[in-house]
Parts: sequence; C-alpha cells; structure tokens
Amino acid sequence: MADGFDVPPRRQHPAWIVLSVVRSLRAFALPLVILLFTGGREGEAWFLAVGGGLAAVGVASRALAWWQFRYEVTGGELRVRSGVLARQERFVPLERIQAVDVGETPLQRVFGVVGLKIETAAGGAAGSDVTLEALTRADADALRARLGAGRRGVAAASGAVAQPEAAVTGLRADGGELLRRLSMGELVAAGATSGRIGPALAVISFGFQLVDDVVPDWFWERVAMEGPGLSLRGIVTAAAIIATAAWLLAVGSTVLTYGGFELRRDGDRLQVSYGLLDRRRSTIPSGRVQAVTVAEGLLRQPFGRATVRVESAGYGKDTAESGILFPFLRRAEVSELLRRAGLDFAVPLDATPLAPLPDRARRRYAVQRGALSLVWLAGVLVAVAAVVPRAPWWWGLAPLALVPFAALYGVLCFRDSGWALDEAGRFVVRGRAVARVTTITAPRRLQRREVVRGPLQRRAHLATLRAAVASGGGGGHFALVHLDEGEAFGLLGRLGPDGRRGTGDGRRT
Amino acid sequence: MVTRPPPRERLDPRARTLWRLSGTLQTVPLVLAVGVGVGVLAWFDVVSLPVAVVAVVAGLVLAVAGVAVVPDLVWRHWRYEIGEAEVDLQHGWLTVTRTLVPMARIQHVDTRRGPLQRRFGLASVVFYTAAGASEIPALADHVADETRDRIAVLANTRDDL
Repeated sequence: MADGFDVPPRRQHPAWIVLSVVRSLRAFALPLVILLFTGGREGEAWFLAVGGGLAAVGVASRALAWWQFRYEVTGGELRVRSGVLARQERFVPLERIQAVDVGETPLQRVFGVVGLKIETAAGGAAGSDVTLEALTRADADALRARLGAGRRGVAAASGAVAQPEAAVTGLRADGGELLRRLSMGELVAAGATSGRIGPALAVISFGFQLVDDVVPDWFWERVAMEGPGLSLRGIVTAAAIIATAAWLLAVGSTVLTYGGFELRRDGDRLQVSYGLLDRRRSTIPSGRVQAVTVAEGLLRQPFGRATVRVESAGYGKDTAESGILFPFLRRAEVSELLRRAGLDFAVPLDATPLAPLPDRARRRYAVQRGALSLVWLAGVLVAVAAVVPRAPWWWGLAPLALVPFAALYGVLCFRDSGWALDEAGRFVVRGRAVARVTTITAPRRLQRREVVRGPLQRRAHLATLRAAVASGGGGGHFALVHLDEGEAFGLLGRLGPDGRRGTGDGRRT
Repeated sequence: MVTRPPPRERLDPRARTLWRLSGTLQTVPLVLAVGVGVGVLAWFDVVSLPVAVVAVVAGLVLAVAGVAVVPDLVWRHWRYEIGEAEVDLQHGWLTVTRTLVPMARIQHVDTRRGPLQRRFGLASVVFYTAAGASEIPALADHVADETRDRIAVLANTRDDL
C-alpha cells in the first residue's frame, strides 16, 4: 500500500460544533418544551440565567471536543484521536473496515458537509464504529478514496479484479450497474403496509398533549358544553381520524426515509442509496454478507411483498434501516435480485421445499406461542381485580376470550416454521414472530450452533436449534424451535466443518 | 435418540467448592437483608410473628439448598471437548444446551482468573467469535493454559475467513 497516499491529520469542519449541539438539544427537547410551557413567571430571570450558563458551557465543551478530534490515514490504518480530558486514540486497520456509509441530513446540507460512518469488524461492540459527522465533500471523497483503495488493495491481493474508483462527490448513487430502483408506486405501497403506525401514533399523542397544554381550559369546557358530548359515535369517529392520521404519517415517513431508493452493483461491492431529507448511501462488500433475511410483514404477506436485508459483520441494529438491501419487493423477485447482486444466497423462495417441524410440535406452538401469555395475563388481572374494590374478580378473565385467536396465531407460527439445506450448501430457516422471516445463510458462515432442550422438550424428544452469524449488535441470531431431537442433532453435525466436507461447500472466498 | 455422544472432559472438581463459596458470599447479604426486612415488618406488626418466622426459615432453606446443591448439579452437567475442528460444550441440568463453535471462527482466546479463582488455582477459558463470546468456566490453572494454547493454535491453522 502506497504510503504517499496517506491522509495527513485533519480536523472535521467546524459545523461539527453546531451539529453536536443540536444533537444534544434534541435529547433535551422534551424537558425543554415542558419547561418553556410550565416555567414559572417569577422564576424566569433565574431560569434564563442558569439555562444560558449551561448552554454556554455546553457549546464551549463541544468546541473543545471539535478542536481535539483529529483523524488521519497512515501506515495502513485509520487513526482517530479524540477526547478533551480523557484522550482516546483509535487505530483501525484498513482491511478491517467492513463498510463505509455516507449520509447527509438537511442540517448537514446547510453547511455543505456530509457524514461518514465507518463500520468495523469489531462485532458492533459499543464505540467500535468510527463516525465523522462533518466533512467537506472534498475531504469525504479523499478519505473514502483512501479507505476504498485499502480495501481494493486487499481484494487485488486475493485475486479479485480491481475496480476503477467511481467519482463519489454526490450522494446520489453513481457508478456500477443499477440493479433495481424503488418506483413511486412501490414507495407509497411500502408506506401503506409498513408497521410504522406505532411511532406515528406516539407523535400524534405527543401533539395532543402539546395542544392540551397550550389551549386554555375554558376552550375545552366550552367544547364539552356545546359539543356533541361523549357519544359512542364521537369516540369511533375520533379513533378513525387518529388511525387515518397515523397511517398517513406512516406513509409520509416511509416516503421520506426510502424515497429514491436505488440498489447498485459495482463489481464485488453493493451500493444502496436512499432518503429524501436524510440522504444516505452505504457500500456493502458482497463477500462480507453473512446472511440474507426476507421479512414478509403481516400487511405485506397477502400481497406477496417482502423486505430484504443483509446481515453483515459491520452492521449493528442501530436503526431500523441498517443493513437494508431492498425495502419493498415482490417475493418472486427476491432470488433474481440476489443473484444479480452477486450474493451466494439466491435461493428460489417458492421452489425450495422446507422440511416442516414434527406434528407433535403443533400443540406446543398453539399453547406456548399463543395461549399461555393470555392465561398469565388473566391470572394477573384476576389478582388485580380481587384487590381493587367494586371490581368483580372474574373481570380479570376477559383476556381468555382471545385464547382461540392466540392459539390460531401459534398454529400459524408452527406452519410457517421450517428449514432446508440445499445441494449448493445454503441453509434456509423460516419462522414467524409477527412478520414471516426467511433467513438464508451458508453453513460456513455460522459462528456458533446450539441445540437447547428444556425439560418438557426432552420428554417429547424435541429440541431447539439456534445459530448465529457474524453481525454487529444483537442481530444475526436465528432459531428453529421444537425440531425433532434426532433431526436437530443431525443438523447440528451437518452444519459443522466435518459435516459439510465433500458436500461441495469447500470453496473459499 | 441423541446421535452425538456428549463431550468427554469435565470441569475441575474444585469448581464445586469455588461456586459454593462464591454462592455463599452472594447469598449471605441477601438473606441478612431479607431477615432484617421481615424482622422490621414484624416489629411494627405489619406481618404477624409466625408468618415472619416461616418466611425467614423458608428463605434460609432455599438459600442453603441453592448454595449446597446447585454447584454440584451445574458441575455434573458441564462437559467440554476441544476437537480438531470445533469446540464442543454441553451444560445445563434442567435445560440442556449443546454448543458447537468452529475453530475457524474463533478470533481470539483468553484465560481469566478472578480473585477467588486464583485462591483455588482455577481459571476460565473465554473465546470470542464475531457473534459473541463463550466460556469454559472453571479449569485447573495448567489445564486452562493448555486449553487456551490448543484453541489458539487450532484457530490459527484453520483460518479460512
């Protein structure tokens, strides 16, 4: 590796101070808003003085942190020095870098800077990733080119064809072959079927609270006097309005997050770029992909649509979007897209027969997955109702009415569970929590395999097979619950280095 | 039914004494706290004296049983084997867990000695993969060192990542 291509020690753009202050303000947003609305009149001057003082100290400390933060590339390493009181030095060998993500929020756009996130192979341990939040485009390009060169140097050494470095100035994807673009129709459909209604509801309820705090009480009293009163119809209407608003918010937030989604392939690297406000772009070396998961959400499964993610050593579960390969795709298209992306995991989903769980597991799924939690809930409620005066204890039994549905859900989980190990040495596991998730990996990617047998399972000769692939954060684990015991141990052996010898999986990458 | 024989090696027998001691050290303050708490409640007539006595005795019996019996059970069901290609672990009395970690996936391996472990001449072997760490909890010092070195050598020769 040419040492003449080193990046000398540099600071980030001073805009980092602003970005960092805004980030900490965001964490205090709720207390601040509450203080602003409830702050006593008499204490105002005192309040402002303390607040102003704290703010000044905060900004000064951020500025110092900015001054102390320096990065450089030298000796085949990315070196980052930071810290005001406790000095910290982090050296990351270039060949350990798993992926480099570029991002741009509206605020970063104002200052003309971009953020760079460098994912390392340290298994997502806290602080193992290097984040440079404010780089000028020129600096970001220089650093990316250097980091990319490091990676290609390694690739070239192992016999891969070196790719010419594409211009990386913009965050719009460029270079390489466009594999798939998310159409406008798909984007809206993705939003409409996304599970994002929960967060949207939270936003709405927060809005209501705010309105409630601001609007004077006499207004509500008047509404209560002159309005239609608390009729059933009123409640239903309000609920419908809130649900529709949440749904529209969910669609909107999906459109903002995944707008302009593109998947490109540049030799042995995959590029994903997306986002209307926060523009993001990540590069995933396809050889580093440990597993592919295909998730069919409850609302998407009926339409044969799925979300495809990759599990890669660099990616933790820091955001809902991390590791996304394609957010909304026809299930039938998945295997073709994986094949064109050059991933080893292009298993035809519908044409691969999955070995089911043994029949005696069905009852266990119905009871354990579904009904048992409701029985517990009923028990707790009965206890509560028994203590609360004037509530008959049998009110607590209400959840039991849901038992048939829960059991049905359990049976559904049972039917969706299964596995396959095909001749090409690919291991497919399907299961369901809420969404139906198919995990595709290769036995040689497995870092650890486990067979776990509880006391009841042992009596029925059932076992749970668990496996983990390399992954940042807590991801990368998957399980088959209630396999036949003999089958589980057989699989445990077949998935290991001895079991797969001579099965055509001896090739190395 | 089970196709795979369990791993061959056991932990060091002194592990039982170690765990009994560390269990006692952890349990005694807890039992004392519960005893004092129940005593205070009984003093102020929040609970009646017989109830308090029964609670304290039950807690004491549970604690003693736990400290006396559990270490033995854990030890008797812990097995390991360092194979050529994989590390093979099995542990658990109620829930039995069998874990296999391919040598080729092990990134590094440590021995660890806590202050109590040092007293007993015991050490743990901890090995790390990209999906987390696994531990063999209580081996005699020299066995732990040999095991660590053997894993390190095998992990290196089988590196095909």
